[in-house]
Amino acid sequence: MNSAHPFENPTGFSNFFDTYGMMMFPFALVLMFGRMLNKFRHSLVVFSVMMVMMAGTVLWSVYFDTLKPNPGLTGRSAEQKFEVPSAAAPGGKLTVALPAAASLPVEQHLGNLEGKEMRFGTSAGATFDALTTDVTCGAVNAEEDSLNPISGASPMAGMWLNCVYGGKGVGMINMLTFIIVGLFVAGMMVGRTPEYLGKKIGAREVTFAMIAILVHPVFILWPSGLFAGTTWGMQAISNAGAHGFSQILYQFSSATANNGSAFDGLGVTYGFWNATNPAPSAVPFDIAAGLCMLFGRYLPIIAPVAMAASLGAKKASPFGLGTLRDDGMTFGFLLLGTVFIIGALLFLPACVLGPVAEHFGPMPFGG
Amino acid sequence: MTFIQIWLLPFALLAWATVIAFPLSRYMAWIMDGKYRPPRIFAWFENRLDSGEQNWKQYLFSLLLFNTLMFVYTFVVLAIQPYTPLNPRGLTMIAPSTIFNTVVSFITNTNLQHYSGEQHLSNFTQIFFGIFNLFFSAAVGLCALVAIIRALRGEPTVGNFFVDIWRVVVYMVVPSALIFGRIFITQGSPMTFRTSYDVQTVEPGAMGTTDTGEAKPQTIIVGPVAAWESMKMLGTNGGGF
Repeated sequence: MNSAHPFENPTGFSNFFDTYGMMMFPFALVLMFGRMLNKFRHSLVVFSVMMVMMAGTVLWSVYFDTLKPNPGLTGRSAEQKFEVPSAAAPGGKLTVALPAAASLPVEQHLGNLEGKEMRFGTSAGATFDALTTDVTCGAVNAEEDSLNPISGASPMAGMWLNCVYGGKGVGMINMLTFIIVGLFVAGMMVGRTPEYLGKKIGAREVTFAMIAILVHPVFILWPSGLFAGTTWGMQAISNAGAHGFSQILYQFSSATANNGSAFDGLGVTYGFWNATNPAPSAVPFDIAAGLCMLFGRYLPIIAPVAMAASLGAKKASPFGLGTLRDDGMTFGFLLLGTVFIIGALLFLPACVLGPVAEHFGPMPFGG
Repeated sequence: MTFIQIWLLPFALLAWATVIAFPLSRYMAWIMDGKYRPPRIFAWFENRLDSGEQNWKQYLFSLLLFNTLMFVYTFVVLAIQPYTPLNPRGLTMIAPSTIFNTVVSFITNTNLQHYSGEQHLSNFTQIFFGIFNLFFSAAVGLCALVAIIRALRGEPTVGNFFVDIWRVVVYMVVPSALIFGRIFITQGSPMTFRTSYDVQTVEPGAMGTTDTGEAKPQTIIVGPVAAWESMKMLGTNGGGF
């Protein structure tokens, strides 16, 4: 299986270079952006913002996976009772009880070891999984399906933001659209015409930036909803409930973010054309994911190029007293806030239905 | 389990990648700004490829045209798998919807895999479909960023797409892939045109026995894994062999 296979990744030494290989160009590209624009300090600020987000996803993923036991294996010391509304029950309330259960006899002081490649150490899998979606690589050396539920939110967040260094070139392009939108919002707040590189940001630039940003959630959330609500998705998932929804959500996040990692367990393999027993939903998944990849790749390249051409053609205005400096802490926090707020507004509801709901255990929803 | 054992790897990776990014970004800016002097043989190719300065619409058109050609070429390579060499296992064509998904997935640098590489693709397909795309799909995204940088500088033209992709592939991607590929080979990754080895299992009969009671051998699939692996990681592609 990908980078966990002993042929692809034979030793701990090769694992370091495997993991480093995917970070090499995305890291350097951010600084190249600054060097080519003669704005090196500006690119250092962008670099730091990305580093904060990347360290956050890695810490999150390792903390909840390597330092916490697998909640599926731990028991409940006492019976838990839930009251759920039900029209059939007397009084409109139905009490559902979860009995006490003993934990499974599995040693868990090393964290969740399911699906990990132990040749590389206990935290190597969680680290790799967080990094691989940040830089939209998509190779894996540990099964993402087996991560602790809340830890699985970290790889997904990497794909939803899609600008934590990001893939070759496109990560920095996505960050540029966030920069334009962030500066536009800041300009609105203080009542000045927003500027980037001394050039005034107009309606045309913001329109193109918003197209690039909105393609992303549209092609993640719409098909996820479509497949989760129809038999196409139901036939493919291998787990019921919140985890099954995570599988579908991950599939389309991965396709639209051009990531390519898989939250395995989804039955999407048709195999050879003469296969006697293909997965029932293979064809709809093939085509839907294919279209998501096409739109998720080319629209966020075309729109920012048009945006940059329109912005670059303007006359640069001189640096004034009220201009927001693009190489300081203020700009860094503005950018971080913009990415977080836009990302959370778009994807938090889906995240709550998937990894978060699974983390809190079986929740009876009445019926 | 100590603090060091858990956190050494993630922090070493982030620190190492940050340190290397400084000199590497200087080199990349130097290449993409065209300040280097290419060796004569490379210069000859570059002059052939240089179709003149392009504005952003021409640049995007070239980019999309190049991707369309990649789509057609790789679609054909996957579709003719039964008729190609280096296919001793006699693998047949994979399902058309999966071909569409796989081709799109590899030209967009996504590498979502709805197939299993070892099981469904021959070594010929892995090389001329897979490794080809690993190199070029990564370079396309980088070219788009360079075009944006030039446009932001206020230049009326944004360079030439074909020269840019040549620069990215020849001066950045290929040298680094050679180094990383070499590292993976020293660590034991296979790098061969051979398709498989039949080996006796350590525990006799672990793969079952034949009708005459002899232990069945295990078939181990090999191929140009080290080349694939290095470019898979460097191009942030991510599809397994």
